[in-house]
Order: sequence, then structure tokens, then C-alpha cells
Amino acid sequence: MTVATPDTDQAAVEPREIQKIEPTQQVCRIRFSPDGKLLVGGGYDAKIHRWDLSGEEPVELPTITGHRGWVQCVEFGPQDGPLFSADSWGQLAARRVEGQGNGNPMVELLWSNEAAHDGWIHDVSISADGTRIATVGRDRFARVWSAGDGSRLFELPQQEHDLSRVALHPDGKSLVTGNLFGTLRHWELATGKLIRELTLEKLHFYDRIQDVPGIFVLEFDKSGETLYCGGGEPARIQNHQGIPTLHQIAWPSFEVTKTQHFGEEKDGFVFDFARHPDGYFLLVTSGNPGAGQFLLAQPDADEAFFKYPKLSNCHSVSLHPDGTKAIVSATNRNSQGNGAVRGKDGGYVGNSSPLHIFDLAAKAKA
Amino acid sequence: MRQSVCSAAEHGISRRRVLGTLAGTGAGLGLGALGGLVQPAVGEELKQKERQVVLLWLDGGMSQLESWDPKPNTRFGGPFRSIETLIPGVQISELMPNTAKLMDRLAIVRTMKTEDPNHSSGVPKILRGHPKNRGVVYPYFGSAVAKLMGPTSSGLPPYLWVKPGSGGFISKYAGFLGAKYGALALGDGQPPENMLPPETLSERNALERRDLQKLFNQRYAATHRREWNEANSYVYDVADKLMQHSKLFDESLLPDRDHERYGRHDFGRHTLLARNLVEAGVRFVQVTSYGWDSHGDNFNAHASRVPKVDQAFSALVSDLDDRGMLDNVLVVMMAEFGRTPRINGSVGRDHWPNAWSLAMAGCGIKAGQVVGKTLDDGTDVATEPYDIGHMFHTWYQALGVDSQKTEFMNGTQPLPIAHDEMEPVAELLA
Repeated sequence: MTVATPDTDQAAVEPREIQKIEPTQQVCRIRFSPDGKLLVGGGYDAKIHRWDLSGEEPVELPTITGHRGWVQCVEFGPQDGPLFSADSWGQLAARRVEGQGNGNPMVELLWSNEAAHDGWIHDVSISADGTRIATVGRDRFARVWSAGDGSRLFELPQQEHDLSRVALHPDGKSLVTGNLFGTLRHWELATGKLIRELTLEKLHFYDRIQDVPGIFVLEFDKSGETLYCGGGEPARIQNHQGIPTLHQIAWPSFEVTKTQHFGEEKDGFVFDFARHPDGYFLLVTSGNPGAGQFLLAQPDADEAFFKYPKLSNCHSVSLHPDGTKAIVSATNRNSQGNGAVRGKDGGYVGNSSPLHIFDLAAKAKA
Repeated sequence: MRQSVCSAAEHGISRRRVLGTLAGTGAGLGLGALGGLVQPAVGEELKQKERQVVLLWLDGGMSQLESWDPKPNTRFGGPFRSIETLIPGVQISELMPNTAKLMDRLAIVRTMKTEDPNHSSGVPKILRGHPKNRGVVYPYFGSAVAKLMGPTSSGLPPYLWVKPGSGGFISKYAGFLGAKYGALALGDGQPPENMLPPETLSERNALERRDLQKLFNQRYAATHRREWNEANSYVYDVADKLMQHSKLFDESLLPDRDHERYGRHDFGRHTLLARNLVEAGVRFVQVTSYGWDSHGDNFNAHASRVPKVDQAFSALVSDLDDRGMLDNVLVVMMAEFGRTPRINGSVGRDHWPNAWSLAMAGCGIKAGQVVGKTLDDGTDVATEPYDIGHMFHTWYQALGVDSQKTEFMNGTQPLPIAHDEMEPVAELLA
């Protein structure tokens, strides 16, 4: 296994929050477009929210409709690839999406499959060459689709438990699924054969008829030598408590070579993860109400070298393609409360996902 | 007023410990003076009817949006779809596919609007029917039914509570009725410790023991107040009756098919035991599932929990129906409140007494209907709100108890059995 060696003086990276976007809705996941000029966010409101970032100030663009459930997955294909989105009602779709550019933000639906899964699609993974998409869902199926036309290319036999996450290996020959019970399975795509299995028992918890999943992140590094499996070690039910955790798994041996913990039980789970070209990780966590962290960590370190605990319940992070900026989706303060919370107009008040924009090169520039 | 002063609500139980609990509270029981009916004849009549209750209690609060009142594709609707039920136009959450097929046997109330958003005070308020405050501690529903209707002709204890964890005799649930009407809790569905006679005990020795026990009871009665003696005898009767039905607690005697249908998880096992207990003649069985307080990770929690409840609940209603018992057994599933429409930062939902749902079946309940409607986004009731007091009136009526005429007696003070400013919900009664 190879662990990326940091070639950046980590002390020179000290992110600084430079801007904030304040949507009125909550989003599950945010992603930059490959050119970095557009940010999209899949919403609890079944919409894809967009912000043009090509100017000095973010400009909110009209939302993309067509989904019906939570849009938990939004991922762009490589280069100028399309935007793939998946929702909790089982729909998978591909769209060509562009920012303001000439003042006419374009959205073109390429294909859509309303019944890609029976219910909640928990994760999508895009192949390195952008030609295929893997999906897993609550229906316990893992499927691979053609990115070009949405046709189904492959399906694993229905599994015995919910599938939480999926990752396509960069060589295009393998697929890894992660399930509710913390079990990772390596499948050969050509034959559908189960090759290897690894159970990370602490990434699952059972109490009082409730299974608590612990896998929230599953992805390969570019070389395919390392599989990152993140989430948390659930500690209890009722509040979302667990120890945020990231496992590095050597692909040749399919063994854990490094485990990093990023906090205490109140800190919860690593909800999203990105790898900076300079080798360090960006992670966000969400746990108890109000508990959220934006973290930077080196792959071989036991502690994050940058911790930003001022945010509330962070659910997604996206790294700008040029590595100079990152955006974190968090939650408004005081999002928790019993009974009806009324606004000044007497209306019922919902929550939102403020988007915090960080300059990752701030200290180096100084 | 006098009431139970037992402070050890839950503890390991044996016949001796049950006795100990009651004896310790005997001074406060006042069994002869308290809890009498103004119209005792009504109680005698009811005993003949053998109507029974199964209360499925989802402690902490199940989300109405992920169960009985889904709002799919709305801001607060969450990730799940709704599905059609057997009744055209009635949809429930996709997490309850088995229950959807039984909708013709159920009634759902979607406009429960209660006052208390806290567990500690909300649970007893709901389980007591939130009566008007008269400075007394009202009994829980099970204790009230035990008092009003007594044991069935089976003679089995009238109020059993199947729950995870430990068991014990929970006298405080009886409120002013006196400890005798408390709940006998079967921890993890197990009988009281030492209930079964030792295998080495011969029939002759067992009879000799009974004679010796009678002797002790007589000595006890001679030196203690009448109400203490009643409680003492009651406990021995309870233990004796349960000993005669010890096979009820042997899960290995049940067919695999039953275990599969109800589920091998706690709630399935406990609901299956509840079926067997009502079949054996227990008047009121409560089954509790803990841990529903999903302030965090609400949707994964409900994705894990609700299908288990769906499995057990649907199996229970089906079995009671198949056995011809549903006409006489009232099944209620509820909690102390629902969960907020808004989704907090922990991807959870908080406490919501403002517009929540419960469900019921059997025993004179008009089935195949939804009562009440909430706003399109679930943030309030859109039609007449109902308090738990309305439900208590309705359930008493279904059980054949005239809730507006029957009264408890607290000494010389008559007390209504349900909130006296509320009435049964007519459309819920067949």
C-alpha cells in the first residue's frame, strides 16, 4: 500500500472563511462542477440547488426540479462530465449543467431512470473514465449503469442488508460495497464474483431494535492503491453519537493500515471527505445538535492539523478543482427544538444549510 | 388522598419480592376504601364480556411522518415514499407495507394535539388519559381497565406489561386505585423469577406447601389490616395463576412460523407473547419498545425500527382477526407524542405534541378509516384536534364502559374515569 506523502508544509495551510452563502433550504451534499464555476447541492426538498461562482459574489440560479425524494447524491463526471443525481425515491438522472457563462445557465436532461432502485439510493460512484456509474440502495441492490444512456450494465444479487456506500475501483474491474453492518465486499465486475470481505465491526451498533450504520464515506484514491472508508463508530441511539472515524484500507491486502479518529462521541460521524492534490484530507463531521467540525488531516497523522469547530452539524464538503477553495455545508444554529418554532410572521420555521467558503491557501499567500 | 408510595418502580421480581413490594406499600393502599366504582354492577357486567386490550407503546415518540401521516415530496416530508393501503385514498409510509394490507381493520387518528412536549411528564399524562387535575394521581390505562373490568374469567392477572430489561410489580401505575391494580412487568417477556416449582417438588409436597402458605396467610391476616391482607393474597393468587400458565413463557413451544412472522427482535417476541397472553385471558397487556426518541439520525432509525413494528403489529392484528378475537380485543399503538416536521442538524426530529398520529383496531372501533387531517406540510392540524382524553373516552366506550357515567371513588370523592370536558370520538366507534 502507498500512503500519499504530504508535499506541503501543513503549517502553511490554514483555511480562512471568506464567504458564506445562505440558502433557505437544507442540502444533503454539495459538489463543485469540474470547471469550478458552479456549485450544486442536492436538497431535502427534492431539488438541485445551484450557485454560479464565476464572479466575485455567488449568484443563486434557478433550482433543477424533476426529483421527488431527497437528492442525497450529486456527483459530476470527470473533465466536463454531466451531473449525476440520485434520490431517495430511487431515481437516477444525468444532466448537462452549466453556469451563467453567457448569462444563460443551461440545464439539459440527458436521461433519467425513475426506478433505478426501489426506494432510497444511498450512494453513487463514478468510474475514473466517466463511462459508468455504480449505485447502491436501501433495496439491497448494487447496480452499474452506462453514464452515456443510463442503461443497466450490471447488478449484484440482492444482499441480505441495506447497502450504504459503493466505490468503483479506478481500474474499472472491481466494485466495493459497504453495508449497514460495516461489512465491505469486493466484487469482480466481469463475473459478479465475491472476491474478498472485510467487516469493520465498530462501524455498526445495535440497541433496542435499532441498527445504526457507521459507513458514510467509501472511495478509492486515484491510484486505486488505497480505499478510504469513513463514517463513525456509533455509540448510542437517539442522539447521533459516535466517534468520527476514517479507515485507510490497502487494496492489495484488503486490510486496514491506518485508522484515524477525529473527536469524541458527541462529534458523531465523518459525513463527507475529499483529498487535496497536496495529499491532505478534508473532512466534515456532524454529531450532537450543534456539533460540527471542518477538519484537515494528513494521511499518516493521528490528529487533524486544522480544526474548525465553529460550524454546526456539517454534512458535506467539496474541494474546488484547483485546490484553492473548499465549501462546507453546515446547519443553522439552534436547529433543534421541541414543539413548534414560529417565525416573526407566525409561520413554522424550518432549518437551512449555510454554505461556508474557505480559502485554503490563505496563510501561504500571506 | 392516599396513594401508592412505592419508590422502587422496577426491580427483579419473584413471588416473595412481589409480596415484599406490596407489603411495603400496604399502609398506603387503602384497598377497601379507594377505587371503588359508584356503579359496581357495571363492573360485574363488564367482566362477562371478556373484552381485552393490547397497548403497543413506542416510548420516546415514533415519527408520524415516517408512519401514519407521511408527507412525501414536501419540505419536511423526509426521504421516504408513501404507499397505498387496502383503503383507496389512504396512504401510509412505505416503511409499513404489511400494515398497509390491513388498513381495512385499522383506524388512524392524524390530529392528536396534546400539551406536553417532555418525556418525563408527557408519558404519564398520555398513559393516564390526561384527566382534569383534581389533585390526585390517576391510574394508567392498564390499571384503570384492571379496576373497571377486573380479571377475565381466566383469573389471570388483569394488567401485564411486557418490556425490555427487568421486570417487577409497578404499583405506582395504579395511582389512587391502590397498588393491587399496578402492572406486573415481565422483563424481556420472562415470568417472575422462581415462578416455576422445582422439578424435584412432588405433587404431594406442593399441596403441603400450599396448606402451609394458607396457614401463614391466616396468621398474617390476623395481625394486619384488611387491605394489607388483600394485597398479600392477591400477590399469591397472581403467582399461582401464572404458575398454571407457565407454558406461555416458553418460546420454544411456538412454531417457527410465528417467530418469523412477528420477528425475532425484542418487539416481535414481546408482541407475540402479548398475543398469547390475551389468548390465555389476560385483560390488558402493554408491550413497550424503547428508544424512539430520534433527535439524531431519525431516518435511518425509522428505516430500521418501523419495519420491525410493522411486522409485529400486522401479525398481531391478523392473528387476532383469524382467531375471531379482534371483535373483543382493542389494539392501540401510540407514544407520548410524535416528532417535529423540521429536520434538525443531526438529521433528527424533535418532540412534537402539536399534530401527531396513533392507530387502533378491533373491539368496536370503526375500521378502515383515517380520522382528521394535518396541513400539507404537517406543521399543524387542519381539522378538529383530539386530546388523549378523547381517546380514553373512545376506548372505554369500545370496551363497553360508559365513560361519561362510570366513576372511580377516591374515598367519598367520585372521580370521572376520563376527562370530564371531553367525549368519545363518535366516528371512531362502530
